[in-house]
Amino acid sequence: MRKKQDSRLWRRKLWMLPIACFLFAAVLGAQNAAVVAHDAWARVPAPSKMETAVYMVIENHSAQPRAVVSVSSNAADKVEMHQMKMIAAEKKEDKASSMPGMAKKEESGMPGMAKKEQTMMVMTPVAQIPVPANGKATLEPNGLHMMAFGLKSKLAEGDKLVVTLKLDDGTTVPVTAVVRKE
Amino acid sequence: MDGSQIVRGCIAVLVALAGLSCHRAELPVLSLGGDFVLTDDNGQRFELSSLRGKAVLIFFGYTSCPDACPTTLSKLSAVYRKLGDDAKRVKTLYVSVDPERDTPAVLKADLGSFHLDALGLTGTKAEIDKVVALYGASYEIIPTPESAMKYSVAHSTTLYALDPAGRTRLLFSYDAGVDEIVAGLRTILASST
Repeated sequence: MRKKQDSRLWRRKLWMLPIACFLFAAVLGAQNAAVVAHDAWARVPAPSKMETAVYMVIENHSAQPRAVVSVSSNAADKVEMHQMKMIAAEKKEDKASSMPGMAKKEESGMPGMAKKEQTMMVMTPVAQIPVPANGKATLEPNGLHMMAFGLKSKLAEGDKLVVTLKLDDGTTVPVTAVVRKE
Repeated sequence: MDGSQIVRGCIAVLVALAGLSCHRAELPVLSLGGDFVLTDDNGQRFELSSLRGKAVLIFFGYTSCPDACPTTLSKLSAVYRKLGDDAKRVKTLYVSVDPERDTPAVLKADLGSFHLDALGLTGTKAEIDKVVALYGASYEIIPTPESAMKYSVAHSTTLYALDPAGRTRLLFSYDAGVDEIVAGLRTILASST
């Protein structure tokens, strides 16, 4: 008798399951009210390229650290997160580049082969972009940025592309980037 | 005119002459650099020696570079604007260290969006490596299979300034501003007249 009653109770509550799933899915993709992105811009792509860099400022107004874990755009096949950094030419410890604005001292070496420069600039993919609690992440030239690959149309100065950031808690942050020269 | 006025006048003349000589001080000739042969962005053989009589700026990069190279090209466009009449005495050479992607046509198209007298140069890996070694530059192809770009190119960012005789006279770091580069070029041009 008791088993029959339990079974009827479960069947009555079963209708709540699809509603719960719907709400769960909605929260996952919901826009994050505490994290905002602004001042987003994209470089005018080089004439031969269907890819470009995107920059912006991401602010986190919550007490919880967040991270951007993926990015998408209506204007590109794929958007990745990248950083520019200086690395040692001989893969030793990272070094700072020479003092800004000053010509280096003469580099001597064997005839036909000058002493090799010790630092190089490189662009590398990153898995995520941390945005500290009550802090911000600044994506700008020569640092963190996003790369939009496979642009669906040739972007010109003044065009706009919508970029959607996905955070580590499943929420999203939309931002519109304006295409400009520099 | 008394003795003190004569002394002050002589000192003024000496200071002026010293100032003039400082302005025309010779830049050292650096031991790195030298002539080379590559392929230009018209697909033609290019010899550095063909630019005798002009100051030359050389830097190494690749057209898929999102920051350093467009930044340098924009900066050099500003340098050319500031040079005014002297701009016609300066040629910029952009040597690609990514010959797989940077064909002459790609170099020509992408350089065309900047306002400076620049020539894109490419070649075989061996030819490019020879020039890289001559100028003490560095580059490395780094596979990035997880990325749509397939590989990244790390490269040194020094800007080399040659005099009209083809000798390397100044090196500018990536952070060098427009004014520093213009001043350096004017010094090179002045020392060659």
